[in-house]
Amino acid sequence: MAGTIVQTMPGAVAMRRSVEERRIRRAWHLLIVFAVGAVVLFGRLAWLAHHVSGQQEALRAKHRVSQELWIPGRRGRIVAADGRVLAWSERRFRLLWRVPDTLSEALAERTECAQIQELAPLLPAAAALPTCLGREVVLEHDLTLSDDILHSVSAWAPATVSLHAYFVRQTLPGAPESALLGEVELDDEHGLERGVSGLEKRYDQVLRGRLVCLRMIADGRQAMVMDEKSEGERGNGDDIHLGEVSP
Amino acid sequence: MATIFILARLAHEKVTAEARAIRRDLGNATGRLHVYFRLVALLLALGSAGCLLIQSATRGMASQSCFSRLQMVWLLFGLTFLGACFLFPRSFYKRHLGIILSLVYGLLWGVLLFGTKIQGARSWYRFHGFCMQPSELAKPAFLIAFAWFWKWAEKWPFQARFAAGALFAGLWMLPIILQPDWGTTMIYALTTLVLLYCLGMNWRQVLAVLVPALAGISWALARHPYVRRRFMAFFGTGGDLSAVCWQAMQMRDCLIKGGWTGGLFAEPSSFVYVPYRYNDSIFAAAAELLGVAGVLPLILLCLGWVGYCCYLAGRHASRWTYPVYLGAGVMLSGQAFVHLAVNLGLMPTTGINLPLISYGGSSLLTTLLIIGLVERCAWEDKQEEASSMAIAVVSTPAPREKAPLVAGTPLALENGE
Repeated sequence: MAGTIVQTMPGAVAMRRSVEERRIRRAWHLLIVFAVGAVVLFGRLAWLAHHVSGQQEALRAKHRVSQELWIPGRRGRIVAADGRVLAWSERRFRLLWRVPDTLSEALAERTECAQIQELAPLLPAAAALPTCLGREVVLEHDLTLSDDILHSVSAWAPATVSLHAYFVRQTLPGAPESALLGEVELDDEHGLERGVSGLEKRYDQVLRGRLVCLRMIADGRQAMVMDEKSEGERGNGDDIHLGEVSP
Repeated sequence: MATIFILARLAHEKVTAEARAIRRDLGNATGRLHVYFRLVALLLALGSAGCLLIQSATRGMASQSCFSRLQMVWLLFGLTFLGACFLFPRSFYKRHLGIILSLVYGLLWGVLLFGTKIQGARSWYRFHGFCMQPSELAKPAFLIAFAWFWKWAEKWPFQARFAAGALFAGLWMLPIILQPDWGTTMIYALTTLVLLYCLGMNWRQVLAVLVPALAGISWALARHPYVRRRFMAFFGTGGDLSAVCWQAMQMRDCLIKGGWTGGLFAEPSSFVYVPYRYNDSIFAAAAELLGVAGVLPLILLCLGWVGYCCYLAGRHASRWTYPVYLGAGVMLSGQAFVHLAVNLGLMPTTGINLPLISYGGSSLLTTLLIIGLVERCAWEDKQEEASSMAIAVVSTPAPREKAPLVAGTPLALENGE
């Protein structure tokens, strides 16, 4: 059958052959392009390895900072069958000042901190400083992310003024299910909330948050990235719905 | 009740026929088993080298060995998939193309609704800690579907065939663009362009495909500021772009520090600052550890793979397998070259894995599936070539008899494909 077609249409075979040859030729074009690409890549690699002066890179490497932070995840919510949120966690902040060891340094730092408008009224009086030397003083409790002082402190305050995050478990006031909810306590080592009674204890495995590791890195140009690691997005605990679980 | 019975009967017959075909195929499997075991040994060696590299590159991380251990599990899992690829003849993919396409394309769209957003892209399905990236796993299906489509449309006019091929690839890429996963989209676009060129597209048609591609890039730059910032950082046309350049700067430091011979046993200093050094930046980390001498085989390996695919396409290919070989070559080697170019600072930063070496289950499985598909097709092509030569020898006519003009040539075989 094929022979018959070829005998009657010799031009068709020639055309088919030219198509085949063109396809083979183009496959070789592709290989040549990749070969040129490989030469370019190798050239760049060799140039970097051989010709670039390491002076600038060495300077930047000298100023590098790397730090790993383990941050506790938020505990899950307890939601009633009708959608009311019965218990939830809020992240709060405690403002701390590590007072220098000597009085002159402490006074100088106090003057510096007093220039931050929101921080000034919270600082201990100058007369009280001798009793605080070398200690960590709590300036304020229960700050939330909406408080302006958090932004001022993180932007302007000296390194000795720091923020300590913790969780507070809130419950819906007057809810009939309140008696069932139970209590939580803070794990001192990791800062995670742990259920100790009632539903909080019963569904602790579901509700409890996990530790999230964040890696902060910076170099001499102050560039900084946060490198999320394995547990990145799974830090927060899961919610439970009382319609789905038996109270 | 009767309908259920008929459907069950039909399903039973189909499964029985399939099992019979596989059994028949297995009967002639000795040669293929040799190929398979050689391939498994080679891939196991390469994959294990990748695991060692991941283990070394993650030094200083809290979960160091977790990455390499998981990668090893994926490697073993992937080699099993490779075996499955060898088990099924390529006619299996043709017969079940509808099911494969519906499943894969459904997964690509489904991730937009049910997927998890990571690093700004909704590209992942996540079930209880297990992650899957459908745009990666769709790569072998794309190759099969494109090859089938090209063969199916062979009676169409030339222009219509190219336009339809480009449209097919565009529709395939649409859900990936919407995720948005620019790195993977780029690999698909590159593969499509090369395939259309190798299948006979002329320069005017190349330009006709490039114009919408450039329009798409412009749209992405206008719509996504982070993509624009990366381009500006790369071309040095922005203001303070230190945050955007971070990864590129750190990768450059690694390459410089590695020098010609690297510092495998030295205290790591540069690569610990490189983000994603176990996948997107693994080449830079490898260059610091092994130096130019150590990473040169990686470049040669990438070139070798595309060379092998071009050889198969030129030597043994039928009309169906030609795009499969070339697509597989471009998809894996092109991805590797883009990874290398990003790590060497020759392209704007984008998250692209180095096939077989970088950490990532979906990427590793896909790579092994593509290699398995190519090897299976190559084996079948060689078998067909050998049998056609045998036919040619058997049908060689007596001197004074009239010979069939083209019986036994590859052109005649293709008609009966």
